[in-house]
Amino acid sequence: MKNFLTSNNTLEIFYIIIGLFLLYYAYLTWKDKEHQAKIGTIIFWVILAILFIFGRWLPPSVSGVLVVIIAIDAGLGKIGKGKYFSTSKEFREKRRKELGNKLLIPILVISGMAILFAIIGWNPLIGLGFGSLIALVLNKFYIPKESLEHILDAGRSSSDAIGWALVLPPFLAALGALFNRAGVGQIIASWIQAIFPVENLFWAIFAYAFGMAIFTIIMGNAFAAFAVITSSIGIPIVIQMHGADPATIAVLAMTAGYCGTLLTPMAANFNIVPGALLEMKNKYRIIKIQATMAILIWVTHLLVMYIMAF
Amino acid sequence: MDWLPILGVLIVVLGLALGSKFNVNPLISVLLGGFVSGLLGGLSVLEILEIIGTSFISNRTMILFLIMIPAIGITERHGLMEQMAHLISKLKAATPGRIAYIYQLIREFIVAIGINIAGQVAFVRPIIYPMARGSLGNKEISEDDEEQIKAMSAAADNFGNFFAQNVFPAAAGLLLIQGVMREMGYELTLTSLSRAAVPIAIIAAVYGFFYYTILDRRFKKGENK
Repeated sequence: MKNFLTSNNTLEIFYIIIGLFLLYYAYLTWKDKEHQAKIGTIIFWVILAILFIFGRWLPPSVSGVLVVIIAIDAGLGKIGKGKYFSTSKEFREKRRKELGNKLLIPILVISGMAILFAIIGWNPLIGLGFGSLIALVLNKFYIPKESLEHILDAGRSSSDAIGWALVLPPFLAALGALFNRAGVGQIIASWIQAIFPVENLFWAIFAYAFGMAIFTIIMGNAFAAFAVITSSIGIPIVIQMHGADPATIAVLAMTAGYCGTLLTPMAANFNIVPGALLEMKNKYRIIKIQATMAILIWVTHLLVMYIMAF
Repeated sequence: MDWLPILGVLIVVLGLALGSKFNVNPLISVLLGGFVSGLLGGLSVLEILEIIGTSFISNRTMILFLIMIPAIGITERHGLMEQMAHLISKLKAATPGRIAYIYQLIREFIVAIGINIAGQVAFVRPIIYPMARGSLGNKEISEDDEEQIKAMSAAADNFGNFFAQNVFPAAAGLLLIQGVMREMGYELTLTSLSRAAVPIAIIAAVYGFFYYTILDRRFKKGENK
């Protein structure tokens, strides 16, 4: 039982349920007479459904081909929005007065289950999954007239709004893995060593923090940057040549990398997907607003590294 | 010609930077850059496809939030956003910047005690943005102000999440640091690592206060109370 509530394998149940949702979105798209991009959107949802339901059992090369197909499909703009059972402003205002805080129940159940699972030491993602299913059932109590079709149509509407940005995060993770195998990290590290006069303490710290940030900006992932930049700059130069405290400098290097995460569209799940979720016009507005804070905190890192690690 | 795989990085960076101008979708730049890097790095097409497939499948957790969308979406059709705005409109002192900043502090706190949730999906979209928008009441605002409030809400989640997460002694980032450093001959305890993360968490909280106070100024113009 404990294993069931902590293991990532349990998530397969939720992946299969998501896959079924997506197949239903494809069906609703097929029925949708006013859809802008019917065929491309159906292909997108069906293939994504296959990856969710059968992903664990598919040979990696087959999954790879399917991922490439949906990337091309979505990347060439073949997916689009349709017509949904939308509600009017007047209706929502009327329902708000009737339902009041009951409207908050689903979100509280979902977040609450995730937090509860985390506190107990189970996998919070499993809590999120169960919370979502409970929330779906609870909907029946205060909106009994809505059919499952209406509920899933609401899901389709939000998912269509996210569109291509939906698959970008796992797609970027795949890119990171490819860059890693191709040896991109080592090349960048050797360039940074050649550029900065690292026998000087300031430039050594600067090169480490800069390397973390720039590599994170390119890869969209500070974790990938850490191993490469620490083995090429952090350990030989900052720790061995200048005598920095390993624990302190390593942790600060990681958050210096996070400053880069705030600046890059490559970190799509933090900077691009939220914009899509919020239906923002400008996809880069979040990065723009984060930039000043990111740069200030990065500069502060140089100072904190100098004070704390030596 | 050891540096050849870097051309793939160049394609991705140029594609993302110039993409919106020439209408090239990021997915296409990433696909192209990945293949170029892989091929120049000596991988076969089959190997590249296998890496893409394996990596995508094991990273489905990144889009697990699809499971909660229908349940939330239907409440949005029945006035979830309107209710949030209604609740927050009762707080007279609320402003977009104050709401975003308080959320940053809450996010710092929960991530520091090890609770990692998809804050952008679970909080920002359904709760924080409607509250921040609602704090300005029902008055019409420009599209630019609307975008600004959305960006401020989303940024608060990232600030809080990023700079406080390593305070938690079992954070994924710390486990990674410990593992990498061990491979290179340095045995570090998680407690010492988590202690080193505290100053930046505090600095981010202090900077956030000033940052959001400054961002808030644009919403005060033209207000006569």
